[in-house]
Amino acid sequence: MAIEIKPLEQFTIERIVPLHIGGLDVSFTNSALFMTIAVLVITLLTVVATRRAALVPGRLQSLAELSYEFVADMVDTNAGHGAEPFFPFIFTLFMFILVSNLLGLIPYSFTVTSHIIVTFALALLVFVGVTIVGLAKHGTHFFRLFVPSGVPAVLLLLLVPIELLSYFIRPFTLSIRLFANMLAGHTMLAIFGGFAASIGFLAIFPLSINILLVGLELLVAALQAYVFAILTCLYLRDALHLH
Amino acid sequence: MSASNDPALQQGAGLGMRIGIELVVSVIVATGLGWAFDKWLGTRPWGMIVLFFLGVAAGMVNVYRAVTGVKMAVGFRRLDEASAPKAQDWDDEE
Repeated sequence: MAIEIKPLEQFTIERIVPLHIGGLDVSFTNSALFMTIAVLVITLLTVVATRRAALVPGRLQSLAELSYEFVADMVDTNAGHGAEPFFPFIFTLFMFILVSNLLGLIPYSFTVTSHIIVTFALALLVFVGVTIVGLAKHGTHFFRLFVPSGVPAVLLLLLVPIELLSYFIRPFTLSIRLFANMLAGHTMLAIFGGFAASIGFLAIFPLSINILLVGLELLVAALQAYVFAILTCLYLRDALHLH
Repeated sequence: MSASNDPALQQGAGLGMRIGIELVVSVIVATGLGWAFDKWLGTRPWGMIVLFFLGVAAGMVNVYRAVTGVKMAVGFRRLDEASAPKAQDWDDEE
């Protein structure tokens, strides 16, 4: 009995509501559906849970307060002074990635963040936004970011390209990290699940591995959202506090 | 929001997740960029060679900063230098 294992099938984009406007394919896909669900979950969590705010918070309210305080603390310690106006952006980013990652762990659901185009769009948003913030705050002085201080002029010829490159690589590392982690984790889960389906009663072994893997994936889901948000904070700090 | 509420562990786990991919992606992206430049300017193979080495350097710089310079801003400046006024005036928690 051979059951075909298709570990990558879970990442297919399917059109739920086909829609074409002016030659552009703007169909409502399963990816869009799960983004919508993620936004709804976050809105529900933050709006409904705190509508009747109690002094002693209930379960939902303390969850909302916990995530708020977690991100506020992260922005405070990592982005430094002057980053307060960007807290809503980082909170939104963090919650969206976290909820998308966690939703993707539900069987038969779709992981939005396992597509590089989604994570790259998010990373590019951060990158362009941070660059604009830096330029707006420091003007042309911002380009001193690429010139290390106290270095002989000859070495600058070598160091400035390196600095430039390491700056422009940020959106790539930011997006590939998140996408690769989600893709790898979900593929691994599907492969072990496929094993289990094809080896009869021995399935207990791959299934027990899968149970452990789901635990790991929970950690990865939270950690990747955390890393994405914290790197956004660090990039913001660079843009805000150059000399 | 990770396994424990210990901030040191959180930072450590976050850092570990960060640095692994940094070096690899730097090299790949830089080499790809070099390839694209060559294709555009017809300078094969020089753009790819030069940018490959720059990519390795940039990746190492990034990893080095991620590891040693958790407290360092981009241009080798120390954090206390870079952001002299510490975040103290938005303590609206209490």
